[in-house]
Amino acid sequence: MFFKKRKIRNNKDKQAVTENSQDIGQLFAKVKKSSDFKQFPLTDESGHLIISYYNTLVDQQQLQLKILMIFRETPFELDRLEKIDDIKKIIAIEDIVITDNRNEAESKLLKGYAILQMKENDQRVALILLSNDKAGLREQNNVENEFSVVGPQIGFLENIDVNIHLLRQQINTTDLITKEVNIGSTSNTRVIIAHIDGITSEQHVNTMTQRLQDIDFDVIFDTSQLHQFIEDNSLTPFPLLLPTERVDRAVQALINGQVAVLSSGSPYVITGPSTIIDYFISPEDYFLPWILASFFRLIRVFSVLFSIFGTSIYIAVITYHYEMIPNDLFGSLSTSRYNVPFPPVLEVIFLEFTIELLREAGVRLPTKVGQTLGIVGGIVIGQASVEASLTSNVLLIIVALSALASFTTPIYKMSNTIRFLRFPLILFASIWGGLGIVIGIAFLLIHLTRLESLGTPYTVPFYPFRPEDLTDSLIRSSYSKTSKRPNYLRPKSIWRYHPHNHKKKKSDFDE
Amino acid sequence: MKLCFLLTFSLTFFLSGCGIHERIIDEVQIIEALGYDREEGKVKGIAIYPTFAEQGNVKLKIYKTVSDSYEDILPRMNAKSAYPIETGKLDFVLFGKEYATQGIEDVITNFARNPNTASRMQLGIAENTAEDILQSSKHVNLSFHLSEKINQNIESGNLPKMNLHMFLNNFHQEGRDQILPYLILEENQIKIDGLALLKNGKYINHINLRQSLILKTLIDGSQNGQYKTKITQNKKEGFILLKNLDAKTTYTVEKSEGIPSIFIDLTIHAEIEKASSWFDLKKDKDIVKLERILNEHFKEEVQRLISLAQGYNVDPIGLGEKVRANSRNWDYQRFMDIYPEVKTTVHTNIDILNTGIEE
Repeated sequence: MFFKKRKIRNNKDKQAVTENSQDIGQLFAKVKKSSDFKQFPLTDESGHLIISYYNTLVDQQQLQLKILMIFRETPFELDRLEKIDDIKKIIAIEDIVITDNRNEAESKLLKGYAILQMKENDQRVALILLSNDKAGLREQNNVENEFSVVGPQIGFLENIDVNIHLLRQQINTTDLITKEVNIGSTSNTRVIIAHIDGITSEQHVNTMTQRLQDIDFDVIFDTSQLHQFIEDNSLTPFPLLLPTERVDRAVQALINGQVAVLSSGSPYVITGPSTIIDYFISPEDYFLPWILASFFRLIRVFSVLFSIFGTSIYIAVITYHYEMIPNDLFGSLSTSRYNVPFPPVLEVIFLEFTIELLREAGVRLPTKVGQTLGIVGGIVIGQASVEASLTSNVLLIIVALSALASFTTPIYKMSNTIRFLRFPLILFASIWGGLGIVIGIAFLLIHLTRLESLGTPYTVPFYPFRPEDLTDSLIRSSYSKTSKRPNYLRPKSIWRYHPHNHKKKKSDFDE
Repeated sequence: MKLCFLLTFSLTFFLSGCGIHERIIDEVQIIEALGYDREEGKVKGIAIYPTFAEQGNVKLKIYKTVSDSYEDILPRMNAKSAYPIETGKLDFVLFGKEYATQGIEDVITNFARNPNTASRMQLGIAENTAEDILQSSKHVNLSFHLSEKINQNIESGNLPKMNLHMFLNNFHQEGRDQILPYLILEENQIKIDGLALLKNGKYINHINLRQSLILKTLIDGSQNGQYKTKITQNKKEGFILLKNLDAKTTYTVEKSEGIPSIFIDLTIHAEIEKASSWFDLKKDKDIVKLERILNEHFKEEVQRLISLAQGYNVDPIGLGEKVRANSRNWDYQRFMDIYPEVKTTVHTNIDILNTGIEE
């Protein structure tokens, strides 16, 4: 109730503002309060040909070369310019908009356009694009977080146009369609929905567009925010859309029939609908021979399972099920816990907490200090806590291994999820032992199978079972087997390429 | 949804006390071996427990207690222990000969009912008292060494496959009697000296280690046993140590009115491990001759073992089981009555595959 009332009042305020400021003069009155707003006449005659712009948003060089040079250089015949519409003939800039709409003027002014008026208080103005897109953005576009040894190292940048350029370089067809929407009441961020016409299902594009258009928010910093707004289920630790900073990964998603969303100012592209197995796929898998790639992919999956269940199994076994410890291991496990005063749960939570602490601190700290901290944390704290009998050294190995294993997933968001999932399982294991772990697994499986990404089941090649889509899931089959797009994406054309057209290589000895 | 969460969390937290009680690995006292003796009408219990105070340093210690019946041996020991005694890692139970003569049925069936005890636990019969043997094993600073000793001898020695599970199988089925390893003290060291024969959980008698290999071949068609035999050839005496590589036994039951007769076909592929030096193993002809001698020898030994068992009226080979598998109207009681008269015909086929490097 309370929230509803607030909302209504807000709407009233908004209306009042828009009614008051319909003309350009009031816009100027408002923006003049900022120190970086500039307004001056282009000619000697005051009150004539007035240019207004944000100093910080425009490219100074363009302003000087394309505008000031023309008007200040003698002699400039003013007769050539009778109406504001004639400005297009004089200034050699492609994007000039003539308008008398105050709102359009305001939004363009904030995007780095300059406003040119014939006379002061003229309602009809020319908006000239002088914006400096690249100012303040980084130039280096090396992949940082999704690094791979083999393959291209090109990542996306904060500049959305460069990002689209990168996509167009790979998907060299007119079928790559980019739809633009502006989101954010304050930031007015450009968000682009990209898909390939004739491949991607309309349904996915429409769902994505619909959901993005429905967003009401003030400032969009990153696609990961959009991700949270448009997710099918916000009560899940699992990422339902796949964020990537790699160009090849985004391209792969697009050609498979997924939709990509780019946002201005964000080096991450989100693609969807995604399935859980997508988070275990590294682009490197496609650059290595399929046998190796499949093996490494399986290792990734097993390491994630170990990471989730390692410590909780330790707790269950040590606390409740000593019978299942092999005879040879019993002595060393028992010895390692002999001096530890805590129950296994506290011991595990203490160590897990330490590892999380190290990771959080390592992320915040500058790179050089971070490395030192990693070594200090890993070796010194670990060893010292064993020596001080706070934890057993067997547990130290398990916790360290499972921390390491959680980072084998190529997508950082998934590794966060995996680190989080351990804790409820630890709780279950400490209360009910092995039974607790089974209950935890049951909850996890029920939750996973109920998840959807843009309306597509999250666990799709396995549940619902789609045997023909298993070719590129747990194992990466050879390219002759992955010629079809996955069915669950409902692509409009199923064939990516036709492997059977290639003639079989003949051996020299056949002739 | 909310209700579901509420239910889950209340179950998790309020019912946590209803779960199994904690048995943290370093806060329980596991016992690895347990012995029962009968002493002046009372039962004496001996338990070996390991302590793991330092890395790689195991100390075995002993609890002893006396009670008038076996049931409260463990509670009495618990009264002596700093941590609760747990039988989850118990993997060797030893019975004194006197105790075993009166029957081990109670102990075994109670272990069988306890879900904590391992079904691959080993059992054994001690020559004198269980106490002697367990007491002397205390000096070995190696946990679980007694059951390892038996397992090792099953894997690579002369003992047939056995554990609690198989004991129970033999105990409950009609047509086969139980066997257990028979342990003695030799020079104050524990030695497995053959097999004890039991009937209905009561000790009857025991056989030596050589006979136990023959029993092993008759039961599981074993591998890896070693067998020493004395050979007389050309009025010379010598010894041969055979290594049993692979043996297979087939039983054929001749159904006849009254007493069944059983035909046993035993094939042993063996290797000559050691032999007295005068044996000439180079020529095939000599080996064939040797095989013939061994054939005779094994035929005699198998026959002797069977008649020995028949003499004690126990059936460790499971002849009854073979007959049961071949008869429509099985009557265990009737079979037990005629068991000493069951006729067996043995045919052996010794095949020497390998005599080592010769030149």
